[in-house]
Amino acid sequence: MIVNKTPKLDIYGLTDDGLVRDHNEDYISWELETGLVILADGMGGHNAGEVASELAVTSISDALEEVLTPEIKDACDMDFKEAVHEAVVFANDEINLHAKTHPECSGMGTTIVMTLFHDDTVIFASVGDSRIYRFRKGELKQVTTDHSLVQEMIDNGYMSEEEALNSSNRNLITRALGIAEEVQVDVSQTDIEKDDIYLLCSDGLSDMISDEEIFSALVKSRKDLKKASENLVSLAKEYGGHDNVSVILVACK
Amino acid sequence: MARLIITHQGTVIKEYDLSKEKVTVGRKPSNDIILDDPTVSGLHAAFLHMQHTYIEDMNSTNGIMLNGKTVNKRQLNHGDIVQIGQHEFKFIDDAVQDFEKTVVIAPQVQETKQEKKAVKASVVIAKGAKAGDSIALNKPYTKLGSASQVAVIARRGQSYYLMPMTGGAQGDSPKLNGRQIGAESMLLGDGDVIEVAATELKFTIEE
Repeated sequence: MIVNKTPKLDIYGLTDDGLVRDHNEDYISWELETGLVILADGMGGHNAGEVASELAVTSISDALEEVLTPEIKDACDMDFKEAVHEAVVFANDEINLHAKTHPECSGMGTTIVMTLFHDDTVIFASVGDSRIYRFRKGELKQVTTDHSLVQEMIDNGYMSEEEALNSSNRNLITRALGIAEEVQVDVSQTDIEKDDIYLLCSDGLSDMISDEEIFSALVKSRKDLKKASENLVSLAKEYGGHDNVSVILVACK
Repeated sequence: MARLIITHQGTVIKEYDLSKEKVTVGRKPSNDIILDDPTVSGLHAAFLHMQHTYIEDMNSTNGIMLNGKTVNKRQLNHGDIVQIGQHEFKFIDDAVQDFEKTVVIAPQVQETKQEKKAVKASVVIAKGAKAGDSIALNKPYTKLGSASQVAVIARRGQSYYLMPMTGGAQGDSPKLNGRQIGAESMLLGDGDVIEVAATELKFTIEE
């Protein structure tokens, strides 16, 4: 008997140029059937940023495509946490390879955040300063750690979280895909609960609006993910829209 | 060069270069930027352009908003939006436009580190009508077989493993070199033979 082991989900995502940038280097993708949700924020001149972010997302999808079919999910004793890690490493290899063979893309890179839902768990992976938040029982929590200079300074006591909000170094990140042969990927797995909402976003959202404002937007329209996504993006734009803004919301039914 | 892009209800009215130290905004003709808007005070606000650029409320009746929040005096950053009455002023600082973009400051990568060796592996169909056809193993996971029986080859670094298949209700598990695979993943070596969905496949690896 084949049982589909992806929990019941509702997903909606949105990406926007913002008000300052003339093109979008973010790339988002999600699949309802498998619970694979990916968001990448690319960087690099001559439009290479969007090459990197798209390549990251498609490589990860490609890498996992064959093991996310229902018959494999059921028949195979697969460690999906490891599979997610392997997929992100594969994406790093693919971006490096592309940069080597396309000189105009040299120096490109991208952040990545992704989720994979399996059984009653969710697997998170992150490289860079894009974020995943969990909204559960009236509480919003960032479940990823930013790989940024500012976060490192906070962790080491050089800066308070308050000071970090106004730091001019917020654009410096310490990890990305496509900048080295090896990449360190944060991967974690945790149980899900009914009515959980997961938010994946680029720094175009989290740099513009506070966690409190994200919280309020989710409280207000958590039953309508499309509306909630649109509210978050328009808030980021109201507050300046300095960067491309991307959000994906996943609700566990 | 720093400049202001002035819009009214979403339409760009004009672009104003900040070339002097103080640029005043208000309803009266004596201002540098004159706004024909009853909600704007005679002298409403001023942009102070020095090493940095600031916006200052000149005791106006209705105040000014910076990125949606009421402020009195603030330093402006590239991309900020100042609202005065029904007009919006977007602050563009061409000098920092590129700086603001995300920069990676990864720790120095060791120069001596060897590049990943390119290992090429594939499986070749050994018998039957499709004998000789090969499937490249260039992704972390490759699925073999068909609906009746499947197997997965996983790539980890330079090595390849046949994944254990546990929940297969449709009969026997795939075979490796004539033996059914169990609950452990099996390291594949050059020339190993995999049997899945009544097809015999030979694993080959080359450095």
